[in-house]
Amino acid sequence: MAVKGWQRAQDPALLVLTSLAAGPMHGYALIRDVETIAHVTLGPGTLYGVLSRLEEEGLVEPLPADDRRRPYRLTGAGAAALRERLLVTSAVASIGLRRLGPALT
Amino acid sequence: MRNFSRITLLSLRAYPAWWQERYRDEMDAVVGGLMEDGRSSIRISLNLLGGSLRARLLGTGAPASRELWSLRTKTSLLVATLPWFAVIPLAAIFFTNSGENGFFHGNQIAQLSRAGAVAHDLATIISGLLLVSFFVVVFGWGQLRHGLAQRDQRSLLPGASVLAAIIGVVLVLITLPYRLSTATATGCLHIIGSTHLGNCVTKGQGYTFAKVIAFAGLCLLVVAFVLAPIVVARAVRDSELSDESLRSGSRVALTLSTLLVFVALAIAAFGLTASLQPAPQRGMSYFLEKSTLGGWYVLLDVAFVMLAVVSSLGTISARRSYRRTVALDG
Repeated sequence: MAVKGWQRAQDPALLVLTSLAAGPMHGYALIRDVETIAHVTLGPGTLYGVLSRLEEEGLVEPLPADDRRRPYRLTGAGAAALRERLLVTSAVASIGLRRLGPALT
Repeated sequence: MRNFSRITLLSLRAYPAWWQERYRDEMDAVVGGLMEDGRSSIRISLNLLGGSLRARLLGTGAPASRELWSLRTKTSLLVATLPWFAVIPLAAIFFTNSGENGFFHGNQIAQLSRAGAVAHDLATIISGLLLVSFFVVVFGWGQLRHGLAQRDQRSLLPGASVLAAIIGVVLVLITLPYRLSTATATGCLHIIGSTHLGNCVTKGQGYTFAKVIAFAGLCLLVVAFVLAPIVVARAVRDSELSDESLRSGSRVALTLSTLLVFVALAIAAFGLTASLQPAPQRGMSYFLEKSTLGGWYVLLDVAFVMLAVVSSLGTISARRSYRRTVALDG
């Protein structure tokens, strides 16, 4: 599906946390997964900027490196923060779709 | 090390040392994977450059070491304040090439147009802002001087810089009675349709000698001005500054970068308003506020904007780093 313009403008931190909800992943796998789930390509500079911030906030943690690839996983605080954020996003999405409903029909 | 393009390698090296130590291996692996996928190395490099700028500016993910954050604050303070030393010579170029140009036809009286008057006011505002910035720098240095506990006593640079500045000012001051500024052809009024030059000031006795002394004084001031940022940079980098000095420094940096932003805006506005003045008509008297730089004025303006941006980024980094340094003390 081709995604253009403002639809790409999503919070990279949310995308990374959502991706890590599937389990530990290293940088390259994260970029591929985010492309699959959100059609957004994160550059390496953006990805590691987000990972360093999330790590500093205690939302993700690094695991021992495998060769030069270091996997990251969601912490308990990260999972809670993600759940809270997705619930808000989901509520906004439901309201938006409900409001669009009559207009579409 | 994978076979990355030169620009990608440079972009990776643009990250700060602590970042390289922590993330470089992982990033090499990710960039290598993306390259194997056939992604554009230019795009990857630009993304890395943006990331390195953010890492340097915000320091996100940097280790919680007071030494590191204090060093970051000091470096940021230098990045925020040193552009001022480049702004002053650029301002000199601006002022020596800008001013009112009058053309008189017969005895008709001419005045600046509305746009010209605004440009004239902007030039006054720019000189005022620069004067204030000078006092801010002097005040900031005065504050910082007390905090420089480990100044290098063996270095001749600080003494040489101060001596050059003092002698330079004295030499320029003693030539002032010779009215160097008015005893030149630029003080003459050009009368259209006539080869006659009116109101020319004749050169006084000893004018040439005074001019040589003034020139020597200006050269010494230039030497002092070139040495000053080196002296400041070395002194700040080599000293263990107290939190009080860092706080004062970050306030000075904020004030200075704000002034530089206003100067850059005023320089741009001057160029715009000067270009909006009505074109002179043949046979009419008129006054124009203009710069003789022509197309070079755009480059001058771009240089002012870039210096203001660098100073502002340094200030953002300095204030953030200062807060983190203080937090680590607690």
